[in-house]
Amino acid sequence: MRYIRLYIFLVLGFILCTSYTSFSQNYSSRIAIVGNSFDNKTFTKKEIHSIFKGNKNYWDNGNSVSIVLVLNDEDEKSKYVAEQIYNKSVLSVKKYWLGLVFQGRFEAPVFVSNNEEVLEVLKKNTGAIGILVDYKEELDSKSLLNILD
Amino acid sequence: MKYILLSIICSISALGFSQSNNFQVRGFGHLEYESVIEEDSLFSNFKLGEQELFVNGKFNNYFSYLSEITLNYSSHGNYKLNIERLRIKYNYYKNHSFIIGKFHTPVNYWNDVYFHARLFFPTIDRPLMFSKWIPVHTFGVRLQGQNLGKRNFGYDLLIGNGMASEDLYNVFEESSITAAVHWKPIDEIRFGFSYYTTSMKNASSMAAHSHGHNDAHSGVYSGPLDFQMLNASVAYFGEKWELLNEFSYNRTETDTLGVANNFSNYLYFGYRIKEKNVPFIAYDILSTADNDLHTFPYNRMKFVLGYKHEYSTKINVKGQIEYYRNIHDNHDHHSIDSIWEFIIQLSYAIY
Repeated sequence: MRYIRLYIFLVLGFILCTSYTSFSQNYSSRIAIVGNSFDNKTFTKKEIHSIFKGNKNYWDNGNSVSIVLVLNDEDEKSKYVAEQIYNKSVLSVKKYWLGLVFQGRFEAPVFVSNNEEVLEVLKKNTGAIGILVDYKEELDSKSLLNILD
Repeated sequence: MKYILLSIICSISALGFSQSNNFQVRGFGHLEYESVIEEDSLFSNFKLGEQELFVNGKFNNYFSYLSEITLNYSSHGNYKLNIERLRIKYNYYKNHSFIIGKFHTPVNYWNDVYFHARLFFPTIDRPLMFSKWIPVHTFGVRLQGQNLGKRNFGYDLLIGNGMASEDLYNVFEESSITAAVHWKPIDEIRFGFSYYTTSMKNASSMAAHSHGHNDAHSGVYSGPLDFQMLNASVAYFGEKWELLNEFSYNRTETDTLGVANNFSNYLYFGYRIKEKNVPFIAYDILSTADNDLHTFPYNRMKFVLGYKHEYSTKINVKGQIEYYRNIHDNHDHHSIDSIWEFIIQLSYAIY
């Protein structure tokens, strides 16, 4: 019994120590979150992280969630998104999505090459949500989502 | 048969070229080299592992389809085709679903997350418990909830066939019930518990044994047996550290020898270096009672030292040294010789 307690203590201790860094997630004004057909256009950062991790299947209006991402291995912007939204490397985010789809828990995101393609996919898909990095053009107020801290 | 299979694969592949976001086809597979040293003997082989076709898609906003079909080498020139998963999912309310078909029984983290693609496995082999008593697949109906509330709570409740068959559910003959819960307080961690129960008419038939190394037993018990199982899983896969612990306890009961208590535990630790390299260790133990008539007396430990290199998300190589030995050195008739194994596995995904 003593050994079982020690074993549980070690396993849980390990998890608590190593997971400490996972709580620190913030992102800057370089990122804009855009979407198509939302009733509520204001989200917290925590909600955004959760949505982009595939934790939500449907929006409150009944539309299914569809995620649009730019995720290229050597692209600095992709690395920035992976770090800010997922707190992971690009490789880890790709593995994360492959695993999630294989488990049958979420539909695969639509992977595109740049900001313009994100907007193009968004226009065609109701319930789609995407991320723009360093986008300089003016955005349609209907598609830009407000993010609170 | 071969032509039918070929035509199915060709047609699915052809569809794959025109796949939209609502319909996707992926391939997974592995190749393996293994050397086994037992007493003074050395056996080596290089083999083709499971090759699989994974198809998923949506019919509309609420209904989706998923299948996983594997092709396994069985003997010279012969391959065995298996449907490992085939399910229709109805997402009836937010993150709650009703599922019908054949699926992996969600009794532990490994069986609910890794399935058959070795690309995702942290170690080359499944834990020892899979070769002895884990009911890998269930054919039936399932209620599922996932990512509920702030702590990402999830549940599964399913009723389906017992251990005798994985593809046919004799509704009034032999059933199993699985109840499982899990939660993810943060993304990288998942805790899970499950309960599984079934009553077998013939304890000698267990389809899931096909997933592991079979040990031949003479005079196998083929009478009725009640089987109940509890499992607990802890999984942590962070950017640096990786940990997986799978605990399983089962209680079997027969009129002949009464109640037997059996347990197994698998523990894995890995540490990621420069993003793509993971040296790891694992310790696996399985112990059964002397009066158990389902698994039969088997008391083994396994030590693993290994290394994984990920070339990309689609291909990785694992190498590991394994040492098997008995838990007790009592040299009774259940004892098995110590074994050293060296395995290299190349696993991949195509999409």
